[in-house]
Amino acid sequence: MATQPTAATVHQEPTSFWRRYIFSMDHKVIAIQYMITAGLMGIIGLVMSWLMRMPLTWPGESIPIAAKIFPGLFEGGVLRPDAYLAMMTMHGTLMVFFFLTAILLGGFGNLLIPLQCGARDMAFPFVNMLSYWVFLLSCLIMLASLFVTGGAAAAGWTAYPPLSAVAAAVPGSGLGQTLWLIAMAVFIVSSVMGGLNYITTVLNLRTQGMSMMRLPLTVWALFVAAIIGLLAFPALFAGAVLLLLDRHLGTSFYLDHIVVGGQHLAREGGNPLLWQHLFWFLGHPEVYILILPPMGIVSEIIANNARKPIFAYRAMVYSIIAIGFLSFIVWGHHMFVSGMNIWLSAAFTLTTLIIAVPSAVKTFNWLGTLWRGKLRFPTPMLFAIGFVSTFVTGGLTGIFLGNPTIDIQLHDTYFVVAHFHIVMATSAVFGVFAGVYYWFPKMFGRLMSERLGKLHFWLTFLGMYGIFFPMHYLGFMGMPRRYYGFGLLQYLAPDTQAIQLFITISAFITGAAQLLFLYNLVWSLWRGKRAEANPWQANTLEWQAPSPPPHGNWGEHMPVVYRWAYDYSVPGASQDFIPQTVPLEQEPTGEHRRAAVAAPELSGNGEAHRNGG
Amino acid sequence: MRATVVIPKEIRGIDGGRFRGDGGGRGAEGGGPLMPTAQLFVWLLIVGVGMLFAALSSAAIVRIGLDGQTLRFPPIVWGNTAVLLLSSLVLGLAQWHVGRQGMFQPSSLRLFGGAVGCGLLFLLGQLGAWYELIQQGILLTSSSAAAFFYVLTAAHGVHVLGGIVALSALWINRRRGAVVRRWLGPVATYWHFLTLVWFALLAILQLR
Ligand code: HEM
Ligand SMILES: [Cu+2]
Repeated sequence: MATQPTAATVHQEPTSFWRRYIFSMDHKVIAIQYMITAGLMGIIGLVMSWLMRMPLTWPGESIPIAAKIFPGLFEGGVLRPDAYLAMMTMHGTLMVFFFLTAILLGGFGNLLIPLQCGARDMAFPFVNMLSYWVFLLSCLIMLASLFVTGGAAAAGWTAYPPLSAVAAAVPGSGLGQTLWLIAMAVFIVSSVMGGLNYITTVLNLRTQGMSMMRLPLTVWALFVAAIIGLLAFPALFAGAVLLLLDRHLGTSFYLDHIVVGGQHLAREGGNPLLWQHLFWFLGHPEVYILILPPMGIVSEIIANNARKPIFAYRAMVYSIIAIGFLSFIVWGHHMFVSGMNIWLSAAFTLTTLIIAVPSAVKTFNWLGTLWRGKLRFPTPMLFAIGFVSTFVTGGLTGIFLGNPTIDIQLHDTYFVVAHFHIVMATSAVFGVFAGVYYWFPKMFGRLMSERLGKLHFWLTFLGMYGIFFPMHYLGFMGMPRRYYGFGLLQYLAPDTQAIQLFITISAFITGAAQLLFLYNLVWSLWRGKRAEANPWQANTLEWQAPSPPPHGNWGEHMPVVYRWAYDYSVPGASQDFIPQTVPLEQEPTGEHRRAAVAAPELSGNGEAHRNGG
Repeated sequence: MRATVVIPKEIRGIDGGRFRGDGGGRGAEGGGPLMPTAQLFVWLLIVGVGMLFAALSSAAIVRIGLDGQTLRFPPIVWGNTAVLLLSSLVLGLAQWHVGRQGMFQPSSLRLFGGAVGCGLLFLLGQLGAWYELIQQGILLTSSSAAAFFYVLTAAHGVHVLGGIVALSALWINRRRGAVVRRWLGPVATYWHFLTLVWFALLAILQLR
């Protein structure tokens, strides 16, 4: 091919089953592989959350059915305390990294970046494939840790030493914790490989006419999330390496004068705060890795279903960038009670409150987009609006927690659990659902059932609030997180048990509602209504390719872009949407609002001129 | 069966060779992208690897500073430093030759091989440095300065090994002009970066 520069094979479609569906280098296949694997990890994490609810709701009571299904975790029909800690740790880890991060960046990033940029594939398809297989390896290592002696890691998803550093601390501090650290390190390698590809592709492989400021907000959000990951994940990798050394080679990076079981460990001079800094230097940016892509997805879906340009596109882009930047200088708000100079905590408070500003800008812009739009309410739109609702709820509690005076009271209580589950378990997950309903026709050429989708939405929306809203009250009352039980120290009013029961029932109903979603997925794959080429009347490039797109996406001719992605309901246009590939001579644009309103033909010519040059 | 399609000249960049030739990104208003894709990829990789070393080094700076005790490097470390610097210089020279000749010629190939050789020698020398320390009874657990010496040099060594693998892959492809033109610059950038990191690490390990 190198000797034949004018001819290249566009449809180099691999023909064998293995190369096509298993060891595929096609970004769309890799996206689906990521989605399926991450989805399975999510289901495992969901089941773990049910197990955790059991001792909290029915302390000491025997639950024979569960004990029968998971004999290894129960004793006398009751979930064992060490199993509880392991479930809690693995639930958090699986959900944050192996479900949300993987499905958002690996799944939606792979699916959308090349398609919406107008590229034929990722910049480095082989590295992309490798990223998935390394991810799968990290999943297997993490799951294997459930079956080793002592059980899975038990130090929480934050893995604070000394609990995570001293093998004798609790059962899960043994081999389970080692495997946890190795799995995380492998996961990080995979996500760096993915991230390098996403960033390179956005920067270098956009098609003709697709300037950065014409990218759909989904791509912007995924792009910045990938940059955050590239900058933040190495810190956790470094932390994990040092922790492994502390565990196995006798160093003391994190340990100082530890007494375990009456024995004084010969470890001196380390400091567990080092881990907290390294962990949260990743940990906080990580939560924005999980919220930015849903923000992008939601922006896309809201504009599409309000049939209006996204309100203040530039402000949306700049706030994505601002959030990305600020997310690196707030990590200390997770450490207010860990012992911190009071001036430093004041600085972290300030930055934490500042990050609420671009978040609020985005929220107002979504509302501004909805305002007086010609609203449609298909399932993706319901989830998108649900996202806005829960993001406001969860964001507001974040502002409370950003103040040390309040946080010292609320830290490590259920209030924090409520806060982050409303932003991550609800908002971010709604972003995932919205995205799956919206792009399912792109991936498989069929629409998902609207009836089941709407039922799924309402059950999930009410259910999630049912689960997580009452947790704020438990937090106020002082219920600590990560406690298996209180025994004789029970100081919560006995009627809080009613709240616990309410939460657990909500959790089971919400969980069961996800079966509707799974059923809908499988049913729609074979029986769903065939989707037209552009079922949502959307502007972005992916709808210009066949569904599902062939290998290489665009057939013979690369798409050429003439406008931004938000030309909805442009005055004087023949339809209420204008795909990005429609030349400006054919339809007016609202891209440069004022110019367009004043003199549509003039701005059109100016644009065409600039592109021609 | 494969369909062969002639790609129009103006978009050839995007599609050239398995969809991923350099020079795509025509979306950029000015026309071409900022830099070739392979070079961009390596710069981003450098950012990621740089963050890893930044995290480890900041831990080292704080901890060694608190303990107030640095490590006397075994003398071989200075020899290793010279070898690594030499490898970077020789690689730079090879780059320059290839840049002028457009292809590996025997002379630039010798330089290139010399750089890879120096890289290997550096790694061997580092093993020697560890051996000397162990002989002196300075182990990973002896002090924070020793611990960070082992950790930082090991992390650096692993990345140098990665660099050697990349250089060797280039060696295997030395007759394929397209591969050489596409990858020699980026791989060399990575290699020079590791040399810079090495000097930074030496300085950090002496901070108190
Ligand atoms: C307006 C924006 C936000 C602010 C001001 C904020 C603030 C905070 C603060 C101060 C804490 C520490 C509470 C403590 O441990 O005592 C916290 C915890 C947390 N936040 Fe947020 N937050 C915001 C948005 C988000 C978003 C969007 C996400 C995720 C998508 C998120 C995820 C989390 C998580 C996971 C934790 C708890 C980590 C743990 O201790 O296990 N937050 N947040
Ligand atoms: Cu945070």
